[in-house]
Order: sequence, then C-alpha cells, then structure tokens
Amino acid sequence: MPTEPDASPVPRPEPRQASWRAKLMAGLIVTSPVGSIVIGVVTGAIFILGVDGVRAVLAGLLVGGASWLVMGVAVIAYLPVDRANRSIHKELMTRMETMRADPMPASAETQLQALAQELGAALSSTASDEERRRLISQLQHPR
Amino acid sequence: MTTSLEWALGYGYVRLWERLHRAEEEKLFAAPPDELIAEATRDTLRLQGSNLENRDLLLDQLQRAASVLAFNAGVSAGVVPASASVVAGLAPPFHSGDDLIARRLIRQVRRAINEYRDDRRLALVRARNQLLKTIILTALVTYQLVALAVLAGVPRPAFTSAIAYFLIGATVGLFNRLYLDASAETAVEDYGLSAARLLHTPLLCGLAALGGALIVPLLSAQITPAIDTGAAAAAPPLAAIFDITQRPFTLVLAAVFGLTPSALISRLQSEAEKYKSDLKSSEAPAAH
Repeated sequence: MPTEPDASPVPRPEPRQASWRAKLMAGLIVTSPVGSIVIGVVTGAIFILGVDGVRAVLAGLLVGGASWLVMGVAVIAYLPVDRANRSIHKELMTRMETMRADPMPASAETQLQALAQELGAALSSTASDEERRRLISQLQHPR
Repeated sequence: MTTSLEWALGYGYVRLWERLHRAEEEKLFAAPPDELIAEATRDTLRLQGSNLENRDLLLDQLQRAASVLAFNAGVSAGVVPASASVVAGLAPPFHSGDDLIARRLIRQVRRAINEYRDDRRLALVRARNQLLKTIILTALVTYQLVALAVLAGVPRPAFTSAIAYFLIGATVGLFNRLYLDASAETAVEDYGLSAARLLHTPLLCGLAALGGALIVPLLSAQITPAIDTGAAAAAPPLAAIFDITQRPFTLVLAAVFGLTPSALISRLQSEAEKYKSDLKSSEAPAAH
C-alpha cells in the first residue's frame, strides 16, 4: 500500500524565519499601492502650499517616500505579515486542529506538522502509539 | 520567493491549503470503512452542486467505490447505489483487493475536488496581485503627471481645479461601487481582491474624470463651427479649461466621465464572482 503508515518517528521540518530585510520588503510591497498614491498626493499638496518647481517634486518624493516607509514598517511592526489574512489563518487552523484530533498515517502527519509550523501553531502528537498501531493493523489486514 | 513576500502576495496561503489537502487525502485513504463511506457521501453532495467539468464521471466513480466499501463492510444505509453498468474490476462479489481500489478512487475524487478549489484560490490571488500591479503603475504615471504640472509651473487655481475634477470622478466611481457591491458575494474569502478593487476604483475614475474634463471642451471647440468665420473655433486655453469659476459645467462632465470605467470595474468584479461562485459551489455541505 503506497501510503501505508509506519511507526517510525516523523522528522519535523525546521521553521523558516524571515530576515528583517525580507520583512521590510514584504511590508513595502504590501503598502506599495497606497504608497505610490501618497507620493503623488503629497507632491500636489506641497505645490498648492506654495513650494514651486523642482523643490516641490523633490520634497514630495522625500515626504511621500518617508510616509511609504513608515507605512511599511508599521505593517511589519503591528500587523503580522506572516499572518497576513486573519480569517484564512483561522480557517486553516480550525481545519488542521480538526484533522489532528484523529489518528492518521505518518505521511499525513508529516504534512500536518509542517503546516502547523508554518501557521505558528503548537505542535503535539496527532495520535497515540496505540491508535497508530491499530490503524496500521487495520490497513495491513483490511476486511 | 522569501517567506514574508509569499505571505504578502498571498501565495503562501494557497500553498498551505494544498498541503492541508494532501494530508487530508492521505488521512482519507487510511480511514476506517464507515468514515470513508460517510466522506464519499459528503463528496457526492459537494460534486452535485459544483461546476467541475468532469463532475458526472467523478460522481459515478465515487458511487461505485462507496458501493464496494459498503458491500465489504456489510452496510447499505446512506450509500448511493451504483448504476447498472459495471466498471471492470469492481463487480460483485467484491474482494479485499477491490477495497483498496475503492479507497484509491475515493482519494482521487477528493483530490480532484481539492485541486479544483485550490486552482480557484490561486486564480483569485493572481487576479488580486495583477490588479495591485496595475494600481501601482497607474499611481506612478499619475505622479508623473502631477510632477510635470508642478515642474511646468501651472497656475495654482488651475492645478486645484484639476484636483477637484479628479476628486469628483473618484467620488462618483466609489458611489457606483456601492451599487456593484450590493450584488457581490461576500461570504467567500477573496484573498484581498475586493480591497484591491476598492483602491483601484477612485484612481481609475478620477483619471477618467480628469481626461473627460480636458478632452470634451477641446473637441467641442474643434467640432462646433464659429458663427462669424465658418471655421473651427479656437481651442480654449488649458488655464481656462481648468478653471471652475469660468466653467462650472466641467464639474458635471467630470462626474459623468467618472462613471465611464464602471464597465471595466464590473467586468473585473464578475470575473472574481465566478471564481468565488466556483469555490462556494464545491464547498462541503456542513462544517467539519
């Protein structure tokens, strides 16, 4: 049986940690649609306030760019980029917890443990040894 | 792609759904017969309401596999009976090997449903990212227009009028979005596509309003013959076009042109609604 579970210990994947540069890049990308609009708005506002020509454009770039950077930093500081969408995260967690409540083959358990790590969920054994042995026996000797 | 970027772009969640589905399929394959029969019945209900292209084939496959499992388990309640035609290798009396085939068939059907749903999720994420790229490029081009006006030293009243036209178009466009959103499906997660569309609307409608406010006076001057000379009238200067005090009717023009991108916006919306409807139609009939 190709997906038959075995009793060998399941290797747990290493968690992947993003560097601050990668996080900042992600924050800037998330806020780039708003950031690019903000630069234009700020430039226009500076011009209306009385600054002319190149100075207005440069000031708009500087102030707008700084605003964009602040938004990007705020996103990575206050909103967890690793959980960019709370409702999807919650749905995935619920499905995963439901699955982990039952015994399952080792291949499924490996997938689920990797998933749990990526979601930042606490890892626990998905099935007791007795349950696993019962499952293996059942698969080896189907009725 | 780094992990953070993957989350920011939304592809990470699609990958996690795929991983969850693979685990679910493995678990299903090894499930006890009663659970497997119940899951097969549940998948039958999911398929019956779905838009999968090979839905009938999958339903047939599922019903036969469930019949084999039910026969071997000695149960009949809740199992949809197989049709009269017989698939090779799955004819009664059933053997233990048939049980394995039935399990594989049920797993295949589950995988087909899962892949269909994952494809739709990926399509939503791609559409959202594509729209975000369009927003960024449009915003940058708009910025260049603003910078050009500033560097050219346009009169400030004209600049303020142009901003007023833009804002009127953006407001009308957003108002139109209220109408479009009233008919939208909101129960299905769209991975940020509706939020991207919300950001896209004022930018697009504002630019359309600005373009309309500029083009219509220029064209009408060229088309309408002057009474005294018979020749085309001279085009009004830009400073006069972008002067609300001289031409207040241009505000109406801006409002009208602010509505023109609605066809494009509603097409984007209907495309997203199709993906969401596909996801909704293949959803499990009950929470699990």
